[in-house]
Amino acid sequence: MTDDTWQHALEIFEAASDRSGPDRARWLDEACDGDAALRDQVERLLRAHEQQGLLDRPPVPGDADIAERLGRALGDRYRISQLIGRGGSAVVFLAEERKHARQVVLKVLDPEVAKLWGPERFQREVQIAARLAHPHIVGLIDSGDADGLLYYVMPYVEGETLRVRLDRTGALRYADALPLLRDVAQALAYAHSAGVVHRDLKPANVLCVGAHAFLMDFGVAKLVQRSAITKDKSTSGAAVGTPAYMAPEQRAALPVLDHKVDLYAWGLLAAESLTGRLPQQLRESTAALGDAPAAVAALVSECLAQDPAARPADADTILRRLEEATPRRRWTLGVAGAVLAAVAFTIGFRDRVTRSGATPALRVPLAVAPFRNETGDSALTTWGRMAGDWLTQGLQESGLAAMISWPAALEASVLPAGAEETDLARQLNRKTGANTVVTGAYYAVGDSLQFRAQVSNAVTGEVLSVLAPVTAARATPQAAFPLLRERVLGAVAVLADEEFPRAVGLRQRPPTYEAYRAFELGSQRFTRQDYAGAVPLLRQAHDLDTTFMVPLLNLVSAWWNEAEFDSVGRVLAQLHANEPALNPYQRLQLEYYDDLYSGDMRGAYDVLSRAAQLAPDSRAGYNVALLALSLDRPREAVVALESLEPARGALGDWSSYWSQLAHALHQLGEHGREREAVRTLIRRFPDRRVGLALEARALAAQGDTAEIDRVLAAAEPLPPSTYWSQGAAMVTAGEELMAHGRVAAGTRYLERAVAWFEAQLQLEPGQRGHRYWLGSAYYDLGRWKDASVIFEALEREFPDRRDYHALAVISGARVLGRSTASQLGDPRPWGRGANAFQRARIAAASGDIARAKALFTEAVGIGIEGLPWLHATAVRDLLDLGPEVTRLPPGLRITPAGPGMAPDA
Amino acid sequence: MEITALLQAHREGDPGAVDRLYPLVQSELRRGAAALLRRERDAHSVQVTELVNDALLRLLGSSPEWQDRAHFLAIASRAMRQILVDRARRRQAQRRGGGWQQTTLGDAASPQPVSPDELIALDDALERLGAFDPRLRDVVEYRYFGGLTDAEVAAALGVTERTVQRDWKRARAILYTELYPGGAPDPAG
Repeated sequence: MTDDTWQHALEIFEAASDRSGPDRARWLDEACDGDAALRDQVERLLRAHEQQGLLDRPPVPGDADIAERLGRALGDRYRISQLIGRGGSAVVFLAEERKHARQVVLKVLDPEVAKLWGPERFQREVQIAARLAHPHIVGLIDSGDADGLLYYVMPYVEGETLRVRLDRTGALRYADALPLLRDVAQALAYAHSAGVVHRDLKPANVLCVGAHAFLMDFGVAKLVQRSAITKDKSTSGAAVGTPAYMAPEQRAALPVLDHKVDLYAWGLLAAESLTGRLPQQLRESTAALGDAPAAVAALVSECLAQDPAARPADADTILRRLEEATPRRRWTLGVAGAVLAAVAFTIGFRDRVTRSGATPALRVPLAVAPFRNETGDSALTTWGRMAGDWLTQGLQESGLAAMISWPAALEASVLPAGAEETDLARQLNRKTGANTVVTGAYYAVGDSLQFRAQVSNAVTGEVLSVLAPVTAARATPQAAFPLLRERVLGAVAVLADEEFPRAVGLRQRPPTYEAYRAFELGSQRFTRQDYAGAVPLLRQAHDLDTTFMVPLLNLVSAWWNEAEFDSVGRVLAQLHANEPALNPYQRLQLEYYDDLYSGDMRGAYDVLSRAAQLAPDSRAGYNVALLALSLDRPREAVVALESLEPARGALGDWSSYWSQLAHALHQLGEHGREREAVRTLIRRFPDRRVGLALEARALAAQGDTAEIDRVLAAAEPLPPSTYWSQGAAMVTAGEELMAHGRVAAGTRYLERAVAWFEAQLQLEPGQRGHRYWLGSAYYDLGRWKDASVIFEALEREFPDRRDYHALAVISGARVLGRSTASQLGDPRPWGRGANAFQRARIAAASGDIARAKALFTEAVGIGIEGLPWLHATAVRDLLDLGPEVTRLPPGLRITPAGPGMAPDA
Repeated sequence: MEITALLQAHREGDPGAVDRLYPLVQSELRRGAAALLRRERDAHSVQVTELVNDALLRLLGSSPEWQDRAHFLAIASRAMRQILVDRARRRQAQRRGGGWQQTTLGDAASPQPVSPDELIALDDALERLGAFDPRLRDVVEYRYFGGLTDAEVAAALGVTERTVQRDWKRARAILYTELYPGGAPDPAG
């Protein structure tokens, strides 16, 4: 077949593949029009299209060498003895831990799943899971990243999974199933209270040993299960794991998932255990569950409600109702029993507290007082003690803060007769040494109890955080505890985190713990300038707790930095819809974004300055500096930057701090300090190639050509294609020298740059960055025609680049002596300043100096993004504007090389 | 640099090196692609960061010929193809010599690993495809060997996502008519 007929066949194939059945046949008859060879070719393509082959599988399957890789990476600690299982999401090995000479189970996450989540996320989840210590949860011994494989280690327990048992025996009798189901429910109650949801509860994750059950794979299961959803949605039919045990809201991949998904899964587990039927066969047959009492069948049916709100409130409710349905045996209420039996893990907190040693808000240790009974019913007093105990346990396990033990706090909370309740905090401080206290009370509101709590400084009595009240039915006050605990953990997390003062208002109302964690992860990505990675996490943080607005605000920044302005608009609209929920600081932030989005840079600056005063340590200070630079207020930028702490906290890893400081000092004409800032940038962030150009610029502003030559010669040879190349540094130096009246010296560097780029383009024809710089150098040298050829070609090849378009118009105007366009389309409302500036350049290039001056003044008035680079961008045009531009700050001033001056020594 | 060491190990015949190399290269590819998607800010903006791993660049060719990120992605994807096919050929040779046997951890749910034979056949078929339409070959290299998403491929090639999807559909069908002329591959193979 010829290429043409091939193309034709492909087109028919493509159109046909969107059709099916008789419709497709008719279409083929028509399109092939009796051409049997063509028809045959199309049919073959269609058959090929519908089959699966190697392109539908990853080229590197990942499991072929897993055992070998594991052995190499972990050989000193574990001896991998045999593969005992392979599921869709993990490979499971039996291994011997050398140190303790015991058998362990080593699970390796499927590399596909691991890839989706990355080692960091995995570590976090595993850490959370590792803090769970419960008699019916199989704990984690170890975890890590072995040669790129994410693994975790569990004790080896001689037993079988419930999956295997059910496959072996079929349905269980109620008497046999009950202890297993109860164990699982107890494990869930405990885990939920610690803020951990399993999300992948199924028979294969329940280990049975005799009459008892142990729940496996906390945290990890969640990752696996989530990635299954992600994959399901993003790729065609490559699902990992089975959705059979997912709750409806999980299958719908709703982002807001709480402990109710586990309750649904528990219902399925119970139903399958009692009937032997798989979930997909169950739907219609849950009315009777083997020999289980009707009350249990009703409970299970409730758990399987489509609407999460219609399911039991929590696992404790399930336990209580199981007990009521089975009165023959007495057993303790799950809550207290499970928690008190658990071992508290408090190792983590030291690290945390040391790290935030300078934290102003949270001073450890922390004590929780028993909640005050304000119901008027002394029979309810126990609940106050239980709440205190419960919160103490939760805080200890979270590792967020060093805790005063519960018995000590309880004893110290007994107030002498006649003492005021307000004295409680100080008394706790005196008797236990606690520096921060959690106190609270509960009230009867109709049939409900309402719990209120606050966090205070125990020394001064200052209230640090007031939590939103939590309500539960009077009959089951413990139902309020998980949420209460989440809120307290969230509040303490906020107070303990040094990076968090920027969210000042949050202290009034903490996010849930889970939401806060997602936020923290998103913020880490954001700090590393991985905005795309930050977006889903920030989105998730808000979705997990819709009262939590900070992630949404940061989402605006993330999208902005990704240049996704449509998304910016959408998030702004969402924020406006939630405006009443914003605190004063957050409203200022929103106002700031609004101003930027509508192009009012000065308005934005004022708003931001107010915000920075409200939250002195926040990144608002940095943004103030950025805007101050664009608005030609470099002194304010320096003040703003110097009041920030660049080595730690919100700006710890933020390389741009140093380049912005250099820009500000450059604008001020303080070139010695400017160079110091650049040296710091280069030292601390050697990857930031812009450093070389910045250093050349600082030296050129001082006229120190000898040092420029030294720096250029000493610079690490960069990959030539780097945008901020040696050549770019030469252009920058040449432009800067020219702007400072050293025309001859500037010309020398520009000519060197021309030679450098021309040679480089021989080696790498078409390289875009090189062409841009070469065009700029030509332009600065007055080689208009050469510049124009380059910029016009760039404009043609990259039609969506507004800057190339502007440069083509400007250089074109130089060639023709008149402008081919007086307006430059720019859909970005906040680009007005830059747009006026480009038009000023066009006017200058066309010889219309009066218009150029007016437009330039207008541009500076609006504010120009990238003002610090003024010389490097437009020195030639600025020279034409003459003394008008000498009103600029010293560092940006143009020194014309007029007659009588000796521009170059 | 880890990538350097792994490439070296691969050249020296360590068959495991590629499995470790692939995710590393792919993550570099993704970072390059992400930057491309973000579209570089205005040329003089201060935020332009160079994300691409130098070691990898140096190693992909002793004199790096790539022009920009898009070109880097093309070269890196192609390099990944070469590395994988190279390994497949070695394995094939070893198997003929009886020294290598593919291990499968048989599970109906887990995807069948790609066999050396398939990979080599794909490599040949891709050459022919490239002669017919180079862009179709590029799309397969980016998507399959580079592991890029449609959006990333679109950014790298400077075409729309829709075009990438169309190209992929065409390329896949053409390749399968060559690779599996008799219909669906035997799942046991």
